Amino acid sequence: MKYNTVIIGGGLTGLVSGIQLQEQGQRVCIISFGQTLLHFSSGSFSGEESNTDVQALLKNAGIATVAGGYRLTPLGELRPAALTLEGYYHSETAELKEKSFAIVRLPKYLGLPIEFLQDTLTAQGREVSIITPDEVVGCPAEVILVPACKAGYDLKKTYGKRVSLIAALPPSIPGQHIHAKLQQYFQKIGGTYINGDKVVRSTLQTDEKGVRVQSVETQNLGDELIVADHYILASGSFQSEGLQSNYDHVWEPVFGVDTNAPEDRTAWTALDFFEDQPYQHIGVLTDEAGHALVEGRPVSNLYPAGHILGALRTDIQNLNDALRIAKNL
Amino acid sequence: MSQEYDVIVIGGGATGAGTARDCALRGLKTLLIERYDFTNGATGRNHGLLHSGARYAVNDAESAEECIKENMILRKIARHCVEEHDGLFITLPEDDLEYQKTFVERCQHAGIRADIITPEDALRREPAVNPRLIGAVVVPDGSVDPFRLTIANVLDARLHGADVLTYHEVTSLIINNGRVEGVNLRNNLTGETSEARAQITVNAAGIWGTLIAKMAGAQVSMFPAKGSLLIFGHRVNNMVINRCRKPANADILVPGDAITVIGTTSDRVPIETVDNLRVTPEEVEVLLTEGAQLAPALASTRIIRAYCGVRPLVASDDDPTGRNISRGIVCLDHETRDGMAGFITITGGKLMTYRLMAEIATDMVCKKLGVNKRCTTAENALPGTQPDSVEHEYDVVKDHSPYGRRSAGEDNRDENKTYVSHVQQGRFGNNAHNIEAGRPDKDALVCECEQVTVGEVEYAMEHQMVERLIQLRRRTRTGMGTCQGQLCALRAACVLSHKTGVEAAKADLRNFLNERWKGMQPVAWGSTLSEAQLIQRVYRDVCGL
Repeated sequence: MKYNTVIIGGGLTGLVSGIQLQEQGQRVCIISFGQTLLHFSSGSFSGEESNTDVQALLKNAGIATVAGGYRLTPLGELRPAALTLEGYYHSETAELKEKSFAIVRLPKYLGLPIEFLQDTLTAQGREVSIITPDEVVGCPAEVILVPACKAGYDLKKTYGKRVSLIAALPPSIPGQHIHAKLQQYFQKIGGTYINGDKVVRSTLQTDEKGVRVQSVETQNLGDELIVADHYILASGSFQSEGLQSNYDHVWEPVFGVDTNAPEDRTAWTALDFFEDQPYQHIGVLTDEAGHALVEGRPVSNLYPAGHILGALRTDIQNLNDALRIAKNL
Repeated sequence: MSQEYDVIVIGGGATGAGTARDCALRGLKTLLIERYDFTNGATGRNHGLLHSGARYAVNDAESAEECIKENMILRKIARHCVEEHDGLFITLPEDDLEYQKTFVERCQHAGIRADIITPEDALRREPAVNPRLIGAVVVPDGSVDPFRLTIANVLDARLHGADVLTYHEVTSLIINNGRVEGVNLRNNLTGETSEARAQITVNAAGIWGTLIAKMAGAQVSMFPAKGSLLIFGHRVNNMVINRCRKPANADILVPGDAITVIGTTSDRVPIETVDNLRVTPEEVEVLLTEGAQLAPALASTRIIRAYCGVRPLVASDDDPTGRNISRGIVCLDHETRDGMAGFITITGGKLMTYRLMAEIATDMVCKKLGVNKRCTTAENALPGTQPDSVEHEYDVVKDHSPYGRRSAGEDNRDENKTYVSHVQQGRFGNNAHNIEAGRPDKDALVCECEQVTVGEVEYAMEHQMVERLIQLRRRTRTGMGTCQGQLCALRAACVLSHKTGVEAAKADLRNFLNERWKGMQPVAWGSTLSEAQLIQRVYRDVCGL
């Protein structure tokens, strides 16, 4: 199978670069293992400043967002967000603008820490009540918060603007929505999305021009190699298995891209959970033009993007990179 | 505040809890004091091995005999804390098969059943065992949940009138005219100070007992021997696997609940460091290498955490590892030994012999008080194992079920058994039917790995002295599963906040996440590193903690 670009990893970075490339007229194939970090999404995209190109791309895919401002965490804190899904509670300033809040407690649902949320809002001088789904009608509170779970989305459908969604514990329904919309859009514009498969091997070719990826092989397709002009490596960090580790080293499993991981295992972690954890900074290495380095040599058609470069990168950083790489191909 | 007791027991490990129970059963007005939560010391930081005594048969006959006797007693009185699955002592080609002969002989001498079986038979009974084995002996090893066992002793002590204080630390002893008359206390949560008085004070503080004894001017030389262990993410073996050779590092593999534990190392550490020990990379290395000798599958099994404890061995000679020090029980009467009346130290021993240690200490207390009551702890089953358990005392009547799944006082679980009620029975024995169930808000799962419901959390809060996540973990296993608290910690913290208030619950959540990380950090590679990254994702990114 021959493509212009093959993208390894079907998460946010992979899908957005795939959509951009497909819209530029390329033939693109995304190979996804099945799980992505989007399943841990808060309903907002993190980062300093949103890029209008990103927002427009998401809109085309059917994902409406609000730029800038602050999102409300499940613990009731306002945190800056680059983009927030429409329908979620969102504040333009670092202060809650409303005086009264109601939180809907869904039967048998523990994904929203209601007690903590209530306490934080109350501490900011807000009037907070906890109501059942039946009490939404006639509830006098200015804002009615419902957790972003299946039942919460159903309430949102019923009551529309009267209720605002708030992020809850994973699995993230908003993340699954974002993922589904992006995937559908990518496929609608002609992209090939291989789901539930895994790249297990790659062939690198070395000649006078340097090192190139020749082909990749997946678990399910076996001998039927996938060949492309360009390869984007968007397979994520440890949590998505884009990086792997054992007791004595860290490696990138598909191409063997070099990493910045310290040799000594004890240097991967800090003793306190809340300290900056060094492993969050572990990523693969690239040259200045963004080509992956394998054994110190740049691979001229392989571009790492997203969390495989470091897990602390914001969504917006990843998205901007995805667009930049795509536009240069 | 000043309270008068017959006896104060210092230390909320198995020995202290057992002593408080024994004292209470013999009618003494008893106070049990623990500076943090129960089982915070060596009791909660070992293999959870229900020793047959075979391990000590060759070198320490006295301990071996004590172990097998107590082993058989615990199977009766603490049925809900014990798994009876037997153990193997295997000989590998590099070991001396001659040792097996001596071993079996010494076991039989100590009264421990020890049957030689063929390597083929051993592999059939325990497929995880190293197939290179050339010899195997079956002994009555098992596993015991030390958390469950200790809390059952505490509950029984309370049922018989004992008072119990957790998070209270003894800052000094009250001494008058060469007599210990009580203790000065500090509440480790609030900082408040108080005192309690008693005719006799029993020092059952494990390794910290040396510091308590010092407060009375008595010297008890301890040998703090650090032991590190690893927990694997699933139950690799179904029988305990030991090496049939002189006890050494990492030569016991114990299955318990849904996991397997390998241990231990043994190294002397300075007494000043025992509150802040961490598992070192070298220890992890040793445990992994040696563990794979017992069961090769360990080399490719996920490690969920590492932990370490300190054995309260009583120093005898210059043995640098402590392996040769007797695990025997030491009960010191400081009146005859140091001229300090009203003060007893009970130490040495093992988790396995906690009941016997308690009996010996309580005998001494009774003798000093002139009380002539016989010990009954070997016959009376613990709460959870008793046929008629504590619900009568607590007067719990709970029946919300429209389906009549549970009703007060009778256990109709067998008819309507669910997986959750099954695991709860495992954790609480016949007290499990006091857990509220059959209503959506009570049946909601707080911890999916270990199947802990809201009803169970509330039961633990009400009846098992639970206010914090670490206590909840020890009583119910919340957060002990493969996710190590990723989602359950926050859910459980919310339920606990109903009792403690939100501010305390938030602080507790942070501490708990750090405590979970402490055990993951030494083994943070592979799936454990991925899991840690996801926990960071949930709490730092999504929740903004």
